[in-house]
Amino acid sequence: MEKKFNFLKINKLSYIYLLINYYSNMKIIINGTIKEFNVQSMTAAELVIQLKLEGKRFAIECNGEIMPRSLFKELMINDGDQLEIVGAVGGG
Amino acid sequence: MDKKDFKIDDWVIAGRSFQSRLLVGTGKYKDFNETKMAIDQSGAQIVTVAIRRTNIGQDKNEPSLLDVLAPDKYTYLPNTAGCYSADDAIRTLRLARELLDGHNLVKLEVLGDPKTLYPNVIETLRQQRYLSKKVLTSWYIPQMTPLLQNSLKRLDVAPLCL
Repeated sequence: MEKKFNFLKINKLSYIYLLINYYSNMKIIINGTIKEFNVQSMTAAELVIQLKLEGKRFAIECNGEIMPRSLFKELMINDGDQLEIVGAVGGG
Repeated sequence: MDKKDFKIDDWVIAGRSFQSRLLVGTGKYKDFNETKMAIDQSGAQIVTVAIRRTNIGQDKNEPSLLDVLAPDKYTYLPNTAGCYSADDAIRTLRLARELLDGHNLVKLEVLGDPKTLYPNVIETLRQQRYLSKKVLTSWYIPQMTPLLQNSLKRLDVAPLCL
């Protein structure tokens, strides 16, 4: 075992720390870009605050399903989720 | 000529009546101020908008189109331009409906050719079939052939030929 960790040039404790850190972070894909957060999961409302989108008009789709705005406080976003956040822009 | 001289001739689409028959786009303007001024002056009551990914991390105070053109004053017509399949278009419209608080008038179009932007009527019809059943109720459909128009009428759509 020790040899294995020597190969990585880190001690056992830091390896464990890295593992815990890796698994406790949430990686989600927002509009095609990977974003990482220091939590395991969060509600849609929390995500909106993290992304500084409060008060803006937008719609969120999570893994192909629409997240109704009225349920933002209840719906959870978990590691690996794919989100699309859209708004209305000039065009048409 | 005074306004009263005009004959009252409302334009009714899917139960909504409009006094102006002009539809205007909201793209290609220099800024939102110019957009607002031009659209106010045009007298149009229906504006088309595109549904696009929000830029994450943009300026928090940057106004959005929906702040500039109040959704209670203008009827928004979210469109599906840029979609090349019925599935893409349906997805976009469902997001638009959520974005615009359940608003269900849309500009329906599935593109067929990237150069000419000529529509793909087969996919448009497929999209319409799905939407009639599941999602939205009223429609505005540009660039139709009479045959497609008839097919859409059978689907209880409110078609409109330009």
